[in-house]
Amino acid sequence: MTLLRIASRAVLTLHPTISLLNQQKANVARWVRPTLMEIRARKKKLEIKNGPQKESPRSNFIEWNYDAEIYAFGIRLKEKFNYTLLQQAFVDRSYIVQEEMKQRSVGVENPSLNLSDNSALAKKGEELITEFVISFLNLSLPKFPRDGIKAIYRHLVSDEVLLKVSQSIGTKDLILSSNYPPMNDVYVATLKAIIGALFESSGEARAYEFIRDFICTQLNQVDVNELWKIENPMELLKEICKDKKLGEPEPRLINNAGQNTILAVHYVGIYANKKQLGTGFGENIQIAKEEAVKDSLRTLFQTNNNMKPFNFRMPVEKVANLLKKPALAAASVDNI
Amino acid sequence: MSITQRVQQWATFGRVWHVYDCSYQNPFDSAKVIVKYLKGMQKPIYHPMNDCGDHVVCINTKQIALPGDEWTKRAYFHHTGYPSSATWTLAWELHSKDPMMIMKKAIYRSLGGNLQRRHTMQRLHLFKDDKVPQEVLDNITNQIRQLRPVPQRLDHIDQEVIDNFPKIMDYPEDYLPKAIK
Repeated sequence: MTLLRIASRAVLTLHPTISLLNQQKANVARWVRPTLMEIRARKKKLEIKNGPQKESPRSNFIEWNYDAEIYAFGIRLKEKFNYTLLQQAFVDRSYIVQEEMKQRSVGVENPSLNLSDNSALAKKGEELITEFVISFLNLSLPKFPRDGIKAIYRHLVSDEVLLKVSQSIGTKDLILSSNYPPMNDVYVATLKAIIGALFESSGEARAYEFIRDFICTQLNQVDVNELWKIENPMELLKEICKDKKLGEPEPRLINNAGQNTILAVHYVGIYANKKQLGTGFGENIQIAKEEAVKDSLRTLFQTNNNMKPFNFRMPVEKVANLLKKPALAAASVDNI
Repeated sequence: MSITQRVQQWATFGRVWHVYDCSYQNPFDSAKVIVKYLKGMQKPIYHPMNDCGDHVVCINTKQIALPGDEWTKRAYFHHTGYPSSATWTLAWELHSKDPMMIMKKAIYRSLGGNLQRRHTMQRLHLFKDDKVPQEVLDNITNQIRQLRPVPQRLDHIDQEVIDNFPKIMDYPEDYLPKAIK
């Protein structure tokens, strides 16, 4: 012990930087752990008694101010909402039906609620999303074919993506629905209705910016080529080469390594009129050829792995101008 | 992971087969070059703990050229472990017994000592002449440049080329060199 003390004193005197007094202070209060343990034990006791507990909505607690929460929602997003419209955006049809049933069960003959559901706003929001996203994609990927743009659009407005966005901006506790937590389609409809409400409150430009900032940005770090599954890439490449008069595309073996081994690598290039369109690797020639075709298509579509990232700061006027041209707008929104 | 990303990985870690012609090359200098390929040190992904080494096929190991009087002065030591069984074999003697052994030992020695050495050696394929099996030849897609040029031997040149070589003068047909007394 004495030896240890001497040693530690030596450390203190020799290396002032490794001072033992400089230890980190515990910043969790002493009461936290036993309290949490007690809460957990009581919860477990309840579960054993009554079965698994349902998640309780935040609005069931005493200090819940719905109006303040709705107001704070707009402030958090830095948007100016009309209060009535924003509140309407959070009301699902199922909630109104449920409330009417409640009133009937009490004995009210003509139940009336001063609420209307969000279906009209959601419809408006969906229209805005469609026209903006399609035009944004057309501007960002000018060489990408229409079918591909459609595939990316379908990904962006799919329930999974919109659900994630809706949940991330904190709609869960504000939605008025018969279920808690709300169903997935209610989340999606609410997001669309919020966009519709924003359009009615602050105008087209703000709604477009909202769509750009929250929905288009979901394309970040996503490989757009993976979103569009091409059935027969070689046929498509042949058609494109024919249209652009590049000549007949043909695959050629550029290089390979260890072809008799289990680790064989083949390197195939696609050439048209002796000009290289793209290259691809593979463990056999067939896969390498398919990859080379895909690479050629990516090069032609300008969606290579090293493509410029999407411009999510693109001015919305630019996209809106595209929509104002009737022919282009019709071409972009139709057939979706 | 998409197919495109998978084949990218596959190509990155693919093993290339190199061929190295040992004829008229110094085995000790050549070993330093060959080791780099065996370990994959020419690759940007190289790391001592990354298994990215290539295969090297060494041909014509019988034709190696040792510098100076190494053939008679360099001795290879071997001990079987039994008492008084140490042997010192001269390079020329070892080479006549196994024409691949000097090259193999040179590379083994310059690999340096660690646990990977014997595994790395498995990627070295030695042949005493240019008779390489077809299935090995098919794998080869690269050649390592020789360190020094192979000299041209007079007995390997066609008689026709020798006859047509420009000369300043011809000896007369009845020319006889001076007799040595």
